[in-house]
Amino acid sequence: MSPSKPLITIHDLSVTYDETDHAVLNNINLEIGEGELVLVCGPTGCGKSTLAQILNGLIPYTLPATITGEIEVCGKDPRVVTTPGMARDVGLVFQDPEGQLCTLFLEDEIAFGPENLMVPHDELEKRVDHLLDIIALKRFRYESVFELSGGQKQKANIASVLSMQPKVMIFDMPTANLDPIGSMEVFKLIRKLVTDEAATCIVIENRLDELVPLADRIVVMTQEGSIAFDGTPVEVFQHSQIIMDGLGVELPQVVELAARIHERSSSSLGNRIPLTIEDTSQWMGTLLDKGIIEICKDKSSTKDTSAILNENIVEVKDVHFSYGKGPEILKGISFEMQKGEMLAIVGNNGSGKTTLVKQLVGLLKPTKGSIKVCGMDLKTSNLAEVAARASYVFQYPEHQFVAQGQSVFDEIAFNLRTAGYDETYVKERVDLLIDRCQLHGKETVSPYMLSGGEMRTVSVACMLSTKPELLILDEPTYGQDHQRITALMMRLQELRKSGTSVIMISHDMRLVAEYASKVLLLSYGVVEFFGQPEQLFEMPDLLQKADLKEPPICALVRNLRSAGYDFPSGIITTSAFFEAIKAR
Amino acid sequence: MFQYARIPSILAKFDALSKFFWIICVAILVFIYPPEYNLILFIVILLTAIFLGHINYGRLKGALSILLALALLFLLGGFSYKGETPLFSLGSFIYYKEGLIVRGASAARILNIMLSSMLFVWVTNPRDFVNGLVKLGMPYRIAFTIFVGLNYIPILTNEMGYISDAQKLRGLRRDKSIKGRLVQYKTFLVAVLLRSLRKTQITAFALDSKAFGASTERTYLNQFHWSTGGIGWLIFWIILVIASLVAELGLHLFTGHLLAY
Repeated sequence: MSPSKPLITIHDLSVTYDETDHAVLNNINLEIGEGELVLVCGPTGCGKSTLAQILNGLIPYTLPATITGEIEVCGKDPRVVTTPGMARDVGLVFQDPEGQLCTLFLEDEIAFGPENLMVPHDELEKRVDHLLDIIALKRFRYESVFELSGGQKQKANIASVLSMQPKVMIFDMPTANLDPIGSMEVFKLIRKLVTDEAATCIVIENRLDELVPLADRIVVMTQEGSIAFDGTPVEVFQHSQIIMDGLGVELPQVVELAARIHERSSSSLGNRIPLTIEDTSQWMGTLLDKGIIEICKDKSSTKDTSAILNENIVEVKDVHFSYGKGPEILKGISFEMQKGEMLAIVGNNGSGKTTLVKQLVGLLKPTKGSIKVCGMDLKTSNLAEVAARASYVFQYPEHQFVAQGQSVFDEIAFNLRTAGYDETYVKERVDLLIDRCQLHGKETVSPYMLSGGEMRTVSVACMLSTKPELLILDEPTYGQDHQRITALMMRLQELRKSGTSVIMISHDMRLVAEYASKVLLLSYGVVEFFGQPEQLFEMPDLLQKADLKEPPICALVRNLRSAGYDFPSGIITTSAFFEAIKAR
Repeated sequence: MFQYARIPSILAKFDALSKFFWIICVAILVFIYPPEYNLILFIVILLTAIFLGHINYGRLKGALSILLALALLFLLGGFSYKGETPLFSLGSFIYYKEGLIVRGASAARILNIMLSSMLFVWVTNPRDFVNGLVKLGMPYRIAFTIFVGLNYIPILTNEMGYISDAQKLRGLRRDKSIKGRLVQYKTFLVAVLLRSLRKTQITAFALDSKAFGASTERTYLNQFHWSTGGIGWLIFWIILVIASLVAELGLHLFTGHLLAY
């Protein structure tokens, strides 16, 4: 692919960090033209962020590395020009919305970059005004950036980079830490930049549902740091099977659906891959009309509920909570969870999800109401008793590491050794967990030296070591690629079958649809919904009220139903869709 | 507690540098004045916080409880002072009147400097202070590094809370022996340090990516301006310092005594 006027040209680029002996990027060849939106995806650790940091000069300016090959960005070699020197040409938005804030107030944050570039005062005023309009945060101009929501913070970060008027904008996993509404705000802004401002954007992202319809090109990277595919979405998704199963990248749900139909059908379907829900609805309608696919009305999808027992593991009755004399965070929460369930707790940022699960493990005590977990009344049980039976995996794995950074093996063994198990059992159990969590070869490495995804896996393995009756995970898939997510979720399903109940806080609605047996929807400290995901995803008004978004397949099925196709209810996953159709 | 309160007030309208030099005036005065005068100065600063700073009761209560605890610690230090006039004793420890006077004087000085500094933080936008320091000639890279460091305090405080909770759940806080506690503190500090380094690295990347340090100079959206109110306020305190110094000097010349202990 060779755009007419390349802003970025990379030839045979290979990068090796000074402290490692293997190349992170291998023989990369890439050209990106003016006004293009290029989506870069690939498995965890494939070098996506390294590529971004090469382009704005952070590598080698701040992170020493050996770089071979040729790079030209806006006519400059970023290896020679320093990062501050590249700032006029390349703007980089990082994952962490809070860590990259440089000042205290929104207007200062936006002005910070151009101030450093000596932009005159009147021009600074103009840029700040314009960008506040673009990000629709004018009313927060004089507010502290630390008081904005996650989505607003990330929009502030984007504006602070845009204010330098770079020729290229790079977004490195900009929605990784955001709830659905925050992610949607950021995606809308990227869309606006591309359509209204004709910006050249490189977006590194693994959640592709929202972005693929916007992308001019998609670059798919391999675990070894090379480019596997580079082309238009339609060209690249001709290789859906390899991308999904071989490279571990999660496809947009509608693309996955189309790819599976292509795979199953013996009829000639051409090479059409629809990219939007509307296109897919139309395409499916044609296939249904032609009889290439048929609806099997007699088949209805049901999740395996055999592991669910008629016995409660969690009983929450009228729980209220506030921090000190502050406003009430939880306002009369009541629900019961049965043994063997996988409960997803969903809701927007600030809805009280983390506060609720902290109550379930005894880290916080309700100001009113009662909680029973694993048969223990939390009013009378101490933290150690609760922690022995109910484990909680925090969102950021480093918070939970305690083995003095020695090794992954020691970290996982810590809970077992503290509980007094003999070393033979400890070794056997840790080896088993290393095997099941795919941590081979990392046993002797310090957990702090692992990638974000690997750290997350280690933190889950640590909490599984003592075979808890209840496992609670806060955003378990954050920073993980599709393969790791699938492996983790399969492991959780196995645990469920062996009697461990699971609660997960998640913003990933596809994951909730696929794996949760129940969903608890919290909105501003109140339970708005408690029931099966199939029921929740048929309530679009409630989802909208709670700033959530259904998986694309739900909208697709609703479109098809509106068009007169008699699909059964409760289709919220790809597998359920294929149970409801027959392809010829 | 130790952050800019963003409350509209007369003091908030004063420029940052006038308020900063006001703290220096207070710091000079506390060394001129005896404890009883320092007590009056303390009340003046407190009233300034209430009426000119619009500082609310909750914030003041929090600050005063810290300051009183600190004052108490200072006064307890009086036990180590050997005087001539015993006031009371605790077992074999005797507390002398002279100890009370000396420690009380130190406590009063520290309290005034701390209260005025807290008031400065509550009513001063740190950005304006940094811009003011640059106006005075401090290189902006140094001034901004201090500013970024100050911004980082609330983030770090939150992180410490998460780490403490997470480690409790892994059973780290169960060993109450001295050795156990040392291991716990070490583990906690390692986690805090590594998490801080990670966060700091992101901030450093962001600073570089936003051209921080690209030039020796920069422009400002909010330029520093001296305010008339601030200058008037500062002049009043400078006059007070001069008058107090003159009074102190006069007293010393005519009586051979000093106001301060």
